[in-house]
Amino acid sequence: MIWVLSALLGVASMFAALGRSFTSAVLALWCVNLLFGCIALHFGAEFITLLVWVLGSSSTVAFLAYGSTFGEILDPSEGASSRRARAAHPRGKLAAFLPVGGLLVSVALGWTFLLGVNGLGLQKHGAEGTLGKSGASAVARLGEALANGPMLALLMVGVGTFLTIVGVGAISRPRVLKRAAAQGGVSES
Amino acid sequence: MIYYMPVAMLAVSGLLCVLLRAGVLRLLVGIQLLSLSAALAFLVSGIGSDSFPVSSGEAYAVVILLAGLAQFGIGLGLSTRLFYLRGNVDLSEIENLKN
Repeated sequence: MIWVLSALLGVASMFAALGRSFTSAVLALWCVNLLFGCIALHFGAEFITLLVWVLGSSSTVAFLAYGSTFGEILDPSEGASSRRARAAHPRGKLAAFLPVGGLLVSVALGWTFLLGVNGLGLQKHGAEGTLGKSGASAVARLGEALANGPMLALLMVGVGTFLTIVGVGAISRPRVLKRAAAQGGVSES
Repeated sequence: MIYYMPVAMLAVSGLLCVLLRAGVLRLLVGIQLLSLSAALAFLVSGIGSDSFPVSSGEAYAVVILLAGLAQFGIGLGLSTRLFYLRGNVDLSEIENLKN
């Protein structure tokens, strides 16, 4: 298992470092974060898994939002904040995935939480084996960590909401920076 | 020893990204890769070691990850300021203190 995860991590990290497109590099960095969490889960570090998945997803959304603002993904001078111009630009459709991505991440984390709670309930009733003791129980252990720590569950909901809000903010980002970029920068004097 | 393979791959990728790329955001990607590499090194070093238990490695890894998050936030703030002042985020064009 660790061989497969290491190989995937190596390929994803190389893509993140040397990818020509900024979008593909950031998405590869997200994969690196998710695989890092899987490796930490393999070693039994559930909290680090949760932390890396949450931080990695947040930083990916932030990278995409800032990259979009700085013109790494979509040139601001082409009217990036205009809905019509964004729809006409093929790469501009990427921004529409940001709030959807936030919702998907929160749904995935919620599913993990429910699966873990379900695993705990099955184990309490002696019906072990549905999730297994070693393999899928790693997910159940993550859910157990969430169920035992209400603050972690609260953090999960908060981060899901945060990702959604940041995604929406990336779409309707301030026109001030776009105007400054169109003028070639603003001096302080 | 096999556990240190992903650590090495992350470190090499992060170094390449920091050394070869000129944009601020690409630099932040490289720094995040290096930060993940350091966190994984501490996490892995606790496996099979009596003197350095896994819980200590986890504690150090959490500190490193949160420090990396702080670096990321500061880097994004500085890049926003740079973009506002110069209109781009290319590090090779920053030579205000030259000569």
